[in-house]
Amino acid sequence: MEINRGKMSYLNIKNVIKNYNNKDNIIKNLSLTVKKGEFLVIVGPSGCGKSTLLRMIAGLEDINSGEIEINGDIINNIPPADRNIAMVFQNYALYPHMNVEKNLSYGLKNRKIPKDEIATRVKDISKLLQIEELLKRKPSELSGGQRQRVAMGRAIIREPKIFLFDEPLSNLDAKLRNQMRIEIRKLHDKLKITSVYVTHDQIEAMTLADRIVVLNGGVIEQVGTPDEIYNKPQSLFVSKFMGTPPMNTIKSKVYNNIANLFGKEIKLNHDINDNEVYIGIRPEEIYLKPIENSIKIEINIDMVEKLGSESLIYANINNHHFIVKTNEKIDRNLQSLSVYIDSKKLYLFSAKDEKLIS
Amino acid sequence: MKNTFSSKLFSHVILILASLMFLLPVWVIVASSTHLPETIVNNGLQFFTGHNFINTYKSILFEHSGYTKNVTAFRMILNSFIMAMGFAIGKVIISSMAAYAIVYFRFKLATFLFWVIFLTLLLPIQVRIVPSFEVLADLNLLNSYTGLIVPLIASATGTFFFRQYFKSVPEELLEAAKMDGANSWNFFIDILMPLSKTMSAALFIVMFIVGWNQYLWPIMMTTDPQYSTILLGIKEIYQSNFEGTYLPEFNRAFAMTTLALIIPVLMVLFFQRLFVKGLVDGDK
Repeated sequence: MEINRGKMSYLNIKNVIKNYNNKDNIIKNLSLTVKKGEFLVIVGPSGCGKSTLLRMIAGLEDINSGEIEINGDIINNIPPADRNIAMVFQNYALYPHMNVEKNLSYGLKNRKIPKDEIATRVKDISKLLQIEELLKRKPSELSGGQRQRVAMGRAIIREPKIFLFDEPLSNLDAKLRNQMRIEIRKLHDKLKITSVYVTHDQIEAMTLADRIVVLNGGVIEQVGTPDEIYNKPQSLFVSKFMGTPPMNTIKSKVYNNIANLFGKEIKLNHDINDNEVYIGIRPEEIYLKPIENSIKIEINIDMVEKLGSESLIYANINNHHFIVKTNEKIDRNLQSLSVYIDSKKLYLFSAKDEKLIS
Repeated sequence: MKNTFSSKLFSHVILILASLMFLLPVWVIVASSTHLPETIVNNGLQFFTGHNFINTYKSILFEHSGYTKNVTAFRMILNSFIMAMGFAIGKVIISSMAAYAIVYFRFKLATFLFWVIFLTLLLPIQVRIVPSFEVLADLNLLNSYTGLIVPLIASATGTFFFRQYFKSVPEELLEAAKMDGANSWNFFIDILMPLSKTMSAALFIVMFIVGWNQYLWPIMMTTDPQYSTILLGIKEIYQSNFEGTYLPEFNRAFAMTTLALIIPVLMVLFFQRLFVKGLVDGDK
């Protein structure tokens, strides 16, 4: 399979601001670099500006100020077609009246690429994506997964410098979504095209990304590898957004570097200037058996959800809602329970700016 | 509704009666046209075919007739066909392009201009017939196909239909095409028009019939019988039947009426198949 890996490209976004009709900025002075051959996932809640950012890279939206560069060349004013960027849309946006073959080759035809080369490329791509038998079918005769493949084929076939994905899996059912996720990652490992992938699904982000960008309200909360995002969330927002179920956070007063967790005193190792912090605890780092340095806490169980290999315990302590994730067998009718929190695995966020303290 | 025998029978009876109501007068005309003029004058309209079919139709199609005895029905049908085709194709092209401009090129006055176009619906050809005639006369376009077709070609209805359709085409299709390097012309020709194939066909067929049935404009525009349309021919032949002192040739008038029906009926039959195909294909 000879797909031109080309010179791998990098993308630079510098101080980009975007608003519509001079109203509130949707993207607020955002800077970001996508490295050569990297698979970058932008994740955030709906309305955080992630799709807008992607569309600005594609050239489908103007930017109000700032610069976007590919390989050092500013592309702000270059029309989408000439940026050599390909995009996979959420609803695939296949041309309904063209068969798969024509869908794949339309972009090449517009670029006046010789017919025999188009034919070879269509052949290669359809082999790569295993859609060879579908070439003569129309999009309406394809299943969701097949359409997804064709949409990717249409993007890859142009040998773009940068590959953009706009929530491409959100229209698929759960099983197919997992399967396509793996295929997308495999494909990227094979082709190494610099990719930017937008999603609201944090599992997609964790599994696909080389690096994740967590976006919130047009501002980058954190950029990092999936491990960094999970283990060292830089802000309360990231800690709550990434991880299923989300991190438990409890507000606590601080006095003489001692915080209060459900009536238990916790000595903090850091000098805290604030008099209030958020204490974060991952649901999976709460244990049903005592461990070293653990804090014992009594909880009232509201509900138990059995997920097969693991269970989620929805609990409350003095009306603080609290989730525990455990592999241990647990009785559904249980009313209360003692759990143990690893005192070394607490996250502390400032109550003022909601940033990580330690 | 329950699909019982009685309900089936009932609906069929209604449908058959309705069809008969529409078809009988047409049949009477067709049957009468195959008789000698004497039969019609003496015995009235005929329900059964006669023996004069070939003579009547041959003479009406290929022998010169009319006031000046210099135009055949064949020529008039051809004229009507050219006019209706130009009329329908022109309307589809102009209105699709107008709608494209209004929907996709978001210039400031787009909405305003759309409503201006839409308002022209309120102005039938009769209102502007004198100025239109004057312009055409100044341009030396009287007695020409251009003169017959062009002044009627702008279509508010067509523009409206295309506009509504284009608005329902997903935005992402345009964006995908942009990324695929399509310019505005490519997008229109390669994507939009094929997508609106069914709609264009529907508009075309309706407009063809409207064009075929144009009466006022051709009668104003043409003084040369060589540009006369079949509708003008029908009017003329009936008129002369009533004015002349000789035996009224109703068989010839009926034959011309029958001929005038054939082309529109064929068009509808042909395009109906395209229609249904378009609908079944499920092309959005």
